[in-house]
Amino acid sequence: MKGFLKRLSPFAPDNSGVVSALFELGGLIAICDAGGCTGNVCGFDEPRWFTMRSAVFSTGMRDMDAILGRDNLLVDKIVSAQESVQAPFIVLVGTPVPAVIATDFKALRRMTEKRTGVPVLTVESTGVNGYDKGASKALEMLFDAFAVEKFAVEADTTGVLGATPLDFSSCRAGGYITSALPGKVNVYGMGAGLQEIKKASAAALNLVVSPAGIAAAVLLEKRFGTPWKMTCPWIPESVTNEIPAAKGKRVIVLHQQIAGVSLRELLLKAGAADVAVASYFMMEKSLMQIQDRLLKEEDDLSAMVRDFNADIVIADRNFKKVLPDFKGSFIDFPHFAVSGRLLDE
Amino acid sequence: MLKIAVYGKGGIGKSTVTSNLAAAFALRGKKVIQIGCDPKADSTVNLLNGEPLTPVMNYLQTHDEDPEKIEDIAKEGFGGVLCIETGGPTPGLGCAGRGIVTTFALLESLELFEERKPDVVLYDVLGDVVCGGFAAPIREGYASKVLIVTSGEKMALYAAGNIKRAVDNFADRGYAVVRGIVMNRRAVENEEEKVRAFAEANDLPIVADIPRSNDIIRFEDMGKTVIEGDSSLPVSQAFLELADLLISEEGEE
Repeated sequence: MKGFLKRLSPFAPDNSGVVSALFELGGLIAICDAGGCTGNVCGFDEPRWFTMRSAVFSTGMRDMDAILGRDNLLVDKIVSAQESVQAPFIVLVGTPVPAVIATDFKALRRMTEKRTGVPVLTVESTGVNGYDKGASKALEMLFDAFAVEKFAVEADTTGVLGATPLDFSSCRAGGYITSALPGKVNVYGMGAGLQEIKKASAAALNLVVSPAGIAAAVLLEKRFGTPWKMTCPWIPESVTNEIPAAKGKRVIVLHQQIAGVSLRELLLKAGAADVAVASYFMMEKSLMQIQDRLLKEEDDLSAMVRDFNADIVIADRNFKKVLPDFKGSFIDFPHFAVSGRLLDE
Repeated sequence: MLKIAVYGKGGIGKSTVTSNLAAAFALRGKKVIQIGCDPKADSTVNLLNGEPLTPVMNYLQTHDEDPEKIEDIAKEGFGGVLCIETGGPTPGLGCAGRGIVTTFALLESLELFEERKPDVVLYDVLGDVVCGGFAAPIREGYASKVLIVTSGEKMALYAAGNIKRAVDNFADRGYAVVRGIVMNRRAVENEEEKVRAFAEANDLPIVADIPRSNDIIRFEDMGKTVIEGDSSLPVSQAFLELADLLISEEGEE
């Protein structure tokens, strides 16, 4: 039974990824749902909800709204919310119900833009895919809409794409990443806001710190010629402190792929015998080595650990549940999208 | 790129019209894609010598993951027409409209249009615009013109009126517009008068007049369109003239 999780809790869905990528940018975020998806975002998947203001709404879709396809009512609600919020842009976020009733988001964008006069982004998340796919779509759409003007390139400015608490398990990740890099650093969506996004062409280099940032980096390269590379400049100390123990060992890193790849470099430098990177989320083929795995099922992980003959597994401790027979060392690398657990807790 | 959606009452001959039109465009040297948007998945069978292809929904049900290449869900038929069928769920279960939307999203992710660069895309859509899924072919980015197939039968005209109204209701959404009526004659008494009266009342032109012809049935029994069977027949000429009209308009635009 594909995708059926027996021991793990469900991973954060794409609509949560959309909100996470856009949360700090000052837009009116309207989640097209009955309320449950918004509740999930605000109560679980978005830790900044408790410390930071953001205009996240549920459109409060009722049964008859879905049956009758009352798009006009949905637009009325958004217009009403916008009258009080006066946001610089609006984002409509898809969830399972609009996906199933085939809501036309392009038409909603057209109708909402006409009535509000502000740019409207529509991200057709379905609630069925992983958070990373939602964040990826949202970032690509965001830069496509707002990073349009060409500015002079500032040699010491680096843009950072793909940072969200869902991957970095900390509301302060933007600051940590900034501290780990030289020059002026714009961590888009975690510290750097809409003004920096509009000036994205000024960055001399874009760093993609999770696969969710790849599509936006490709877009910025096509549009402005901005070079980009995939690397994660910051790995939590609680993990890096354990690196010396990997000397001579066979290690599996299970996380978002780019964190895994960057950690692999550190582990190999410290003398690890071999390191495999695995993820239940997007894996960029060009970064994959022969021993790396895109995992789909719970049992895929236990099979990989067995086949790779791993001595150490570095992963969110939630994954211990699917490795009851693993006798090696387990190093906790919290992944908020998997466990809802922050590093700082 | 000319993108056309064909609508009309169930059983009125939409698939016959669409596949003959596809074959006519192909005869004129156009690169054509026909997408059947009906759970019955029989839109393209007469372009494929009567051999049906695997519908997208069947592929997804069997493999439980997206195909990696277009060839997994498409087959070339007469004149190089690339045939695709959305198919649908087990009758009585699931959601056929969602199946259409899923198919379209899949075709987009496979970059069908970018890769194949078709001159013409035809969407053959089940019956009426019954729900969001069945309106998907006329949304922004898909078909820009709608052809409504009707005979002089009362219920066919009634359905045609519903389709026209539905499309008109989408005016503020940037959807396709109704280009005209394809009169598919069914030997109804005063058929032409009835269809003309309907067309005038709805301010729509009749863009093709398809004569009733046993040749259509004869060639369909052989798994062919009448265009493939004998393109010199009067009924074939009617399809070719419609193709020529649409090509010439595209050139003007």
